[in-house]
Amino acid sequence: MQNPDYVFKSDRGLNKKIVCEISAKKNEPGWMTDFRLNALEIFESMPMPNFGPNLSWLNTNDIHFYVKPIEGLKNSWEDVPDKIKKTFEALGVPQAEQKFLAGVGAQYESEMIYKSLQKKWEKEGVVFVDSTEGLKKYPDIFKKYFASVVPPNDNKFAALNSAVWSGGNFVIIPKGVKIDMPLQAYFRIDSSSFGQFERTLIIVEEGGSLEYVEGCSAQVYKQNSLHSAVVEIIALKGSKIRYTTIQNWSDNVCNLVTKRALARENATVEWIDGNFGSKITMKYPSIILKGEKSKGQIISIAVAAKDQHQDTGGKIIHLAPNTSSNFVSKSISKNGGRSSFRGLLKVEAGAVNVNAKMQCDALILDDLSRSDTYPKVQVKEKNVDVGHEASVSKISDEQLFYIQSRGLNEEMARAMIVNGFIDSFVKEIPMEYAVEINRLISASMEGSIG
Amino acid sequence: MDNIKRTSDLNSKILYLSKGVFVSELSYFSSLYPDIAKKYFNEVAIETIAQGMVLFIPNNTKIDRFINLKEIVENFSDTEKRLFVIVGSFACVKIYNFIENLEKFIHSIDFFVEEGASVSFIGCYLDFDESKIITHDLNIFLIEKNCKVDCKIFCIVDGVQNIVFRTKQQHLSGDSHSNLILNCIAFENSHFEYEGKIFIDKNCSKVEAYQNNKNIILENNVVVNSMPILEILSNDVLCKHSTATGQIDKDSLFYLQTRGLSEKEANILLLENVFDFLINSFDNKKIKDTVLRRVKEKIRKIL
Repeated sequence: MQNPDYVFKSDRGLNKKIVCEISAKKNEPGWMTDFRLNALEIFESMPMPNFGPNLSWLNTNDIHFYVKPIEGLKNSWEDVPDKIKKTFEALGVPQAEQKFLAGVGAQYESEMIYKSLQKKWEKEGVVFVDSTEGLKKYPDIFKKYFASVVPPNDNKFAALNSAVWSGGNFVIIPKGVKIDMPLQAYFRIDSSSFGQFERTLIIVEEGGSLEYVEGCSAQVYKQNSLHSAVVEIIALKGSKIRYTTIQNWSDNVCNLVTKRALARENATVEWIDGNFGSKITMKYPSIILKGEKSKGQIISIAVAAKDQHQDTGGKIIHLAPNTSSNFVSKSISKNGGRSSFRGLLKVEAGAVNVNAKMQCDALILDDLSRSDTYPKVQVKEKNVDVGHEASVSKISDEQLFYIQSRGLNEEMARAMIVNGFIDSFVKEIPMEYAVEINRLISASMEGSIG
Repeated sequence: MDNIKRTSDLNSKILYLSKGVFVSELSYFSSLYPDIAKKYFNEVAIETIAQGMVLFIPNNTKIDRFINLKEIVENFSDTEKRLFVIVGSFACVKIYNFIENLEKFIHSIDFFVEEGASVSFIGCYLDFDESKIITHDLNIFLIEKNCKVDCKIFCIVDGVQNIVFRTKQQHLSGDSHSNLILNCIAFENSHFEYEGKIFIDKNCSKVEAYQNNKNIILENNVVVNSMPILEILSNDVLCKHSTATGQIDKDSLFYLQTRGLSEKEANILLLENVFDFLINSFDNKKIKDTVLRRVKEKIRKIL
């Protein structure tokens, strides 16, 4: 599919002029421009991460940091230019919207180009807008929570996102409103040598409930692209949020994302995180359990195929008493891929009666692949129950033999075992996505007998 | 332990045990066995770790009784804090390291295990220096096929002690087996950090590697960090690790109190159970009773 003509495309490279240009094009208030410039200084002063995949080849001088595809945000697919609309139709986004979604936001390159929310939820006071619009329409609440969970100095790529962020969603679920259908955001990259830096801020007010689904994909190019998002979630007293990601970037995309949620009293936060694509992924969704009796759950899966390095995991930090968490990670390495799990369970002093579990299972499908596990368990309180376990193995010959004895060939048997291995992830996502994931796994297993 | 015999003419550079087993300074060992030294230590390493000792177990040597590292270390100078244990093909050795006195503390032990060899190591660490961070390394290199290493380690940390314990199980050949268990009891104000790595190299099939770490926190102001790491580069392997940190099981404590024990007595009984896994590994009753008595004394003294 050909790229459409762009309304604006910044020069390659990153400097103060480009940062100011992005801020000016969005008519942002002075504090945001200052925030961006400060973040740029932090980005330039911070070293590359000293762990995980080698990122020394990443050259920001080669990247276009801002590409505006069209003027304005559309509320109907009819108003979206044909070329872009066809891309999203091929991805099934409008079809899913009609069937089972409460609302959809679609980002193409640097900007959200489409947004819709069912009237029912608009009447309930639900806010679902792109982040630029959120900053304009709700300046006080936006300023109050923006960068409160992920400050620019958190890590180098959070600083980069803070400097050049564009797009992403701003969501407020009002007090007591429970949305029974998911909201979905879809992110698409069609430019080469491009950086996508969306910024999503979600506030679920007291007693509110939300399921948010995020999907991403990109066209394949020889030149690398960069995706560096920041997602901040604030779950207030008694609220519940589940954030599901199905990441299927093409293997020329470097995916360096910071996702973090803050849970207040009795709140529940769940990250359901699926990583299938990209050249390199570094993503560790985090939960800070700050309120008493808050709960956190992370279920993640990573599939690393040829030339892919999935460096994924998560962090759960218990700051308050009577908090609990569960963390399950599954990874599959094949055809020379490398999957690395990095997990942190931390219990601070005073957080009594904490119950936390972290589990990590890895499958290695051939001798070319690699699997690493780097968990950390840090406990500063005696009255806790914290545990971690991990295992690495291959597909068992007995299982394979049994399934083949029932009439399936080896490829199908392997796909069936792998689908069973990731079952704890698949059963947590909406049915429509679960079917897709099973297909994706089966397709990716083709030709993997070695 | 097998009889220790000092050779006077070598000026304390070598200590013969029975069946050809001996301990010597690394530099002296490399002059005696240049080929073996070259296999495990390159020239630069020998210079930089000149203060180390080598415990050499020749091929096909089976030592039934435990070798006590403490007694070996006492025969060498205080500066030698690193020990290399070379276990020859089809040799079988049992070693224990019982630390009550830091003056003779080996900070680092490296095992090089050859084809078909078997190593059983028991470490019991009861007394650390309160004034500084103590780091202890245990590196196990399973170099050739069909070798097996079993390690059981128990620590008690209390006071303002700051202990960093690092273990590495490095499988460099297929058909090898390793198992490591480390249990720790942490008392008031102490800091315990454990980093345990299992590494399985490329083309090492049929490897089994296990690692288990349990930490009991008894009082406040304790920090326990646990980092079990897996780096697996082969697919036909079975590898597991687990770590658990918590307090004494309240139900068990309650049950024992209902049977007439005071809270302190119940606590002591349950804590003694934490090192049961290690005690049962001793086949020598004298050593077993000595270790058991000292651990009990230590726990009772702190509680």
